[in-house]
Amino acid sequence: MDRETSRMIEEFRREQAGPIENNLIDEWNAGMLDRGELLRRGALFGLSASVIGGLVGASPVEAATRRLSAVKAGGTLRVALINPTKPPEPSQLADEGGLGVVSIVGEFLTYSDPQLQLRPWLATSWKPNKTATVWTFQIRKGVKFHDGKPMTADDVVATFKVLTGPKSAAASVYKGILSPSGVVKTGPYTVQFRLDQPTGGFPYLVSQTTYQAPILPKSYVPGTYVQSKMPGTGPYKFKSYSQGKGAEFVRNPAYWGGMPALDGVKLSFYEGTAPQVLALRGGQVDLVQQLSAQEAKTFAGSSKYQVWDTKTSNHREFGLRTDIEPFKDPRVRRAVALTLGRPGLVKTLFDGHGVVGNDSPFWTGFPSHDPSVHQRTQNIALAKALLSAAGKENLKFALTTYRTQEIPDYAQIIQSSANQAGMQVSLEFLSSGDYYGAPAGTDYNTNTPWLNRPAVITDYGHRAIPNVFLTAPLVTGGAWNQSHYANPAYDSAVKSFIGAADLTSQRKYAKQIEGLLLRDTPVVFAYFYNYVAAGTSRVKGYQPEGLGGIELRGVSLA
Amino acid sequence: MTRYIVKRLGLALITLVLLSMVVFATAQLLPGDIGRNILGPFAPQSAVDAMNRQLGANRPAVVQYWDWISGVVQGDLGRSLAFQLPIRPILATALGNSLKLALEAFLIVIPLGILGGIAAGLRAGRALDRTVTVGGLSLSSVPEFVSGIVLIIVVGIFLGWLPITAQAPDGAGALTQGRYLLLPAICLALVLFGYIARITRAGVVEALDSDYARTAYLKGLPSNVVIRRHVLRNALLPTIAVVATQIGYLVGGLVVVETLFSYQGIGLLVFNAATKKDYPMLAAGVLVIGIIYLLVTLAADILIAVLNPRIRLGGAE
Amino acid sequence: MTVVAAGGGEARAARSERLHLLRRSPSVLIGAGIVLFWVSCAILGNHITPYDPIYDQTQNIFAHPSSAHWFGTDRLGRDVFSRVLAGSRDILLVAPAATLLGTVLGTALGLITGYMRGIVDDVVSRLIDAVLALPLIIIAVTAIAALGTRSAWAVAVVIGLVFTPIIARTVRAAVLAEREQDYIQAAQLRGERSPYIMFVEVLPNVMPLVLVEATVRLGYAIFAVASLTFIGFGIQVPSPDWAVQIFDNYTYVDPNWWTVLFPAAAIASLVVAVNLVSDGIQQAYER
Repeated sequence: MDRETSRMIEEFRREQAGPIENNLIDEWNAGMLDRGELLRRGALFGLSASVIGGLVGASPVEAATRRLSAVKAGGTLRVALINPTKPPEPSQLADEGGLGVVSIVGEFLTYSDPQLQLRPWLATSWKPNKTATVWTFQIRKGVKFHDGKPMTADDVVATFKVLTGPKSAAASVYKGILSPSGVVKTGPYTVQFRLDQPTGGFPYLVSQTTYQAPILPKSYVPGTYVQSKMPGTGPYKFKSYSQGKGAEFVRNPAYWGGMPALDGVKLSFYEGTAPQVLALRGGQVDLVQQLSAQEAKTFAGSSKYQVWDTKTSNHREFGLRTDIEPFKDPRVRRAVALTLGRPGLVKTLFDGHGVVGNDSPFWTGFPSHDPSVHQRTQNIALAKALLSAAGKENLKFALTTYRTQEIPDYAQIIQSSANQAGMQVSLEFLSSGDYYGAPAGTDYNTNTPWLNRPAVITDYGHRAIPNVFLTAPLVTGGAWNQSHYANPAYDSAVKSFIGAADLTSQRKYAKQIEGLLLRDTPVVFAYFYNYVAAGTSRVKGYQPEGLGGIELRGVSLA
Repeated sequence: MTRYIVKRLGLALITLVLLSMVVFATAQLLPGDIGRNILGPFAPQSAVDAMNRQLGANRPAVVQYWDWISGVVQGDLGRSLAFQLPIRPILATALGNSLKLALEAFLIVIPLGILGGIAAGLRAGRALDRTVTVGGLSLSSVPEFVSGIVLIIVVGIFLGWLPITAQAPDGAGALTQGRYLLLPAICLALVLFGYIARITRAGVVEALDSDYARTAYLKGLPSNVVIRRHVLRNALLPTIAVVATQIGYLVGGLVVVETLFSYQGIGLLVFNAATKKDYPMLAAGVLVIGIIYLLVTLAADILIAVLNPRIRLGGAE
Repeated sequence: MTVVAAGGGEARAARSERLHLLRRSPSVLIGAGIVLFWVSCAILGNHITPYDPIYDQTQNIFAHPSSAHWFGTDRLGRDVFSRVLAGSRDILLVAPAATLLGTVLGTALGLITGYMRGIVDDVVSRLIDAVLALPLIIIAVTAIAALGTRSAWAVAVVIGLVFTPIIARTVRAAVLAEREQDYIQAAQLRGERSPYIMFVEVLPNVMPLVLVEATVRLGYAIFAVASLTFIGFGIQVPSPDWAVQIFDNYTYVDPNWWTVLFPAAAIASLVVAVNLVSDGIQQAYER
């Protein structure tokens, strides 16, 4: 590092950096972070490009907005997606089809890329206070909604007041973190988020991984998304939407990021992935939102097609109720977890496109995961011994889930694995409506199968940080707590983890959390699988972001 | 004759009304808080109640039935819960698709079946007859989705001659659509061939045996004239009857074939409506299928009456 | 030749002549042989399969047919040959159950409407006509969706109920003919009550017809259960039932055709066999 740069960094540390930023630089100097991690955290805490560049010892890191350089313009991109369960409404989004549609027109404050790197989007920069309880975001100037009105801090504030309000499906993300009163405009293009508790990863929570959070105009009336022509700021704007069939979008010539390359986008909706695969093969679409690794095999190795394979934290939670028989005794739960041959699972279900899980939300791709925690492996003898000790040899139980993607196969593998330890599992498959729904007129939380059956498999989509996975399904009283797990030690470790901004502390709390979960095993996390998409080789510049959003900035058709 | 037609029409109408009641009653049984189904599990109960009031879901069943049926008669089939769109255009498209497939299947199987039946009938008791009869029987027994799968695997995958989905891309011309429909049409033709051949054959055998034909032969008329003039005409009658009964199957009963070939016909539409609890669509779809079946049977009965002098002149059915 | 309810010796002779005919017909023999084969597979189950059809999952998924796996393996690495052998059991339980239900109810209904006639007959017949306007699968799908369960027993009950009017119609026609016979008049003159006449006098004489109908319906039942299972109603995973295998593996039929072709051929063989047998029986009774 030359003297000029080191002086610049010294000055930054003295004048501007708070404890969070200083911690980061200390960790970097101590060699605890690799370059990628420095870049990620640097972006997270809003360090300037020159500071990061100085630390890394290279020229300033370019502000990483996508640049629409010279690409061939024209053409309509035809995309196949899973059918939205109903006409989309951003703050109510809960399904992959709906979020795919909204991602075409809507944009978010930040973008979490496939390497979990945060990039500016509708926010140009952000900064935490000392304790990571207040985050100040600078909103991009010159952005216009599709009706021509300029986007300002008022629109951001209005959007987040709805998202943190009572009717939002983003409650799993913001509950306990941010309330409507904490969203404050402090300038025409500045918004402050005053959090209910310290949250080191907050900027990730306003990225596209919280798919309910595209920025909408302040005049928008919730519940009227399709009728209001899907207001947004994205490169393509609404033309038509037909529930059950498809949607069409056209180029937005006034897009802030430059002239979009495509004339338009045509979405077609399908039930299941099999018809989407056929449509791609038959030349009826150019891009498929998501398919399984097995299905993608038929497209690999052909020059006419390309396959995108992104490592993500997508997973399934095999939850066991900790408060009723037969899983009240943690030994029984551990026994079930020990019957699974995890590498074999990844091979059979995903053709190797995934990684094994260790019964906690800590995917090995999260930097905060502590690599020293021992990985649980298959051990039938130990499983039998545990069952014996708990007095539950030849245990019989029912596993309830629904049919989607590989879940039925996973259920069958669980059945045969448990059988090796003498357990008899019966499988109950519901429709997804029945699995996530409740009979009419009854209280939802006590009657819906996924939150109440003794053993369930539920699917969870990718997030860039484990916060949501740690809280909603596992914290006492969490909105998604299918196992009814209630452990104050766990709750406090999670709170500390979320508040921690530096890597060392995060890893410390992660280790505590992983230890608690391995001991109690309220949920079996057997694997985290890759997000796989496929398309024709004509599609250029596309990168699936891991959750199902179809991000088309920079995409063109050759 | 007119009396016969009027009588049949009256019966058909009564049956239709009964059908509509049965359909409506069943559709109403679909578990459901309709408001809850539309708004989803996270909506507050007050919103669900308001929605139910708005949809009139709390009124007595008879009132709801009357509302529905009077709408149907005027051409308003209601609104689909799953699509949030009027039902009629969606149903019309699906029906059109099913009719196209049925048409192509008929174009293949009727000539082949009749020819086969005639050939078998003329050579009754001999090798050709046995082949056609037993072969036809076996083919008809094979479930259509099994023959569909075999066709898909052999013709579509191994040989790659034809596409394995039946839905042609939007805007494709008639010939392209026909090509996409060829595999499922052949599949259906295989199922129907046996029936049609058998019935035609029976008609041919009976006609050849009749006094009329024998007299014609004795008079020295060449056999093909006899066949053309008399045998064919009488063999046609039962064939029409069979075709009519199969139309109901072809229009609504093809859920499995439509699933196999990913074809948006009316069978698949009704199936999806049933599984998605879209009860207005289900009721409308099932009613339309029933109406078509009854209409076709009626038309067939009248056609048979016209062709068969015994009925025309008021003899026993 | 009609069966006259007189002279036990004549009836016995007719029966043995029929059996003789059946035994000599090649198609009936082939059909019966195939059915017996599948029935024994259903009974012997896992004892005759080289691998366990449910639990023997390997990591060798979608393997081509080979000497180790004659029919290849499926999506979870299970041996398809074992699953095809074991797959006859569920359908050989559900389809006959449905047929039995339909036959019992249909015969009762046919007897009542055929013998009693009058208003009951008229109304019921109209209702039956109305419902029979619809293809079986539509009726089944609607009924199952209304019931809310997809289990195999729901399917059996629904199919049985759908068969009831069809069988009732045939039985009714036969009863209409029977009730004009002398022995019925005699019974009425004796003062016997209607239920007695229906079930003790008429029933035995329409029994042969009922049996023929039942065997014909059995073929349809197998076909209907397999179709419904293929679209997701009825027998469920992980049963090695043939239609379940097709349902499970159909998405990957290209290029893994063996996972679908062999179960499909098994279904075809059973249905054709049952139809050959029932056709033979039908022809024997028609002579």
